[in-house]
Amino acid sequence: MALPLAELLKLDPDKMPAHSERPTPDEFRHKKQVYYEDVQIGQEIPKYIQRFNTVHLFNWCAAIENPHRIHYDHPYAINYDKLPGVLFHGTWRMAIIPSWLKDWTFPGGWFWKADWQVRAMVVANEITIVWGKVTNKYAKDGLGFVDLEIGIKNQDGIEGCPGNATVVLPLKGGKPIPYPFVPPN
Amino acid sequence: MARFLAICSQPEMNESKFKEALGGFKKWRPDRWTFVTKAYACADGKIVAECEAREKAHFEQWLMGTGWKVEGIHDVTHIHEAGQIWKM
Repeated sequence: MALPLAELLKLDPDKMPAHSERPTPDEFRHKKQVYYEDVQIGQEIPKYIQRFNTVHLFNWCAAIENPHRIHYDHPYAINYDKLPGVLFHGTWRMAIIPSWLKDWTFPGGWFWKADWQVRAMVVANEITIVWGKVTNKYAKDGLGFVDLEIGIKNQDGIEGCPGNATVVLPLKGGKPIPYPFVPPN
Repeated sequence: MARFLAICSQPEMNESKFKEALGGFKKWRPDRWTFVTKAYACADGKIVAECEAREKAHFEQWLMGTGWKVEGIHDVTHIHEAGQIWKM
């Protein structure tokens, strides 16, 4: 049973990652499609909860060839740039959201569009809670559109990535989502 | 943000007590702006703790929660670390 976001934020931060709803690789292999009819307005979608440490941040630096020391060199980050710790990358937050929405709509849905802001510093060893809530849904041209409020909160409930997204889900017994997806007029 | 160094003592300090004081997230980062960045436990019972905080009072409050005897809290002006010198 998924823990609602409001309840999750009451927990000791060390206990939060255990409530992550990220599917395991095996669950991905056998993932059942979420259909438009399965979704209700106000519903929370699965939250990804993780604690990223300096090694994770360093790996992302290496992956995107970003050598800026504020992301992995703790003494430099706190002593030179006067930061509260090594910083979680804005680019990584930008990468997490599409991946997470792709996961939720997988295998037959489509993450169509999203906008969000990157704000509030997140540092290594904080908790990141990727969360989303259904704000609207409508069917058009035989496809199910679902609007979401999304974000990435930390363990204190501070929002670091407020935004909105729209995903497309198949209707039960309906046509498949076309690939590549072309939004209806 | 400012950096503070506390000299404390806890005569019967051991690994278990050290972990009890610092082992959980909320222990070393009691709020968004107070980070206990480093702490050293010494064999003679002395403890040196470094904290990044907005105000000294926040560090003092954290130290009270540890139960350690606080001998002094100092404002840090410069740090040397492996050849790098940082001005606070």
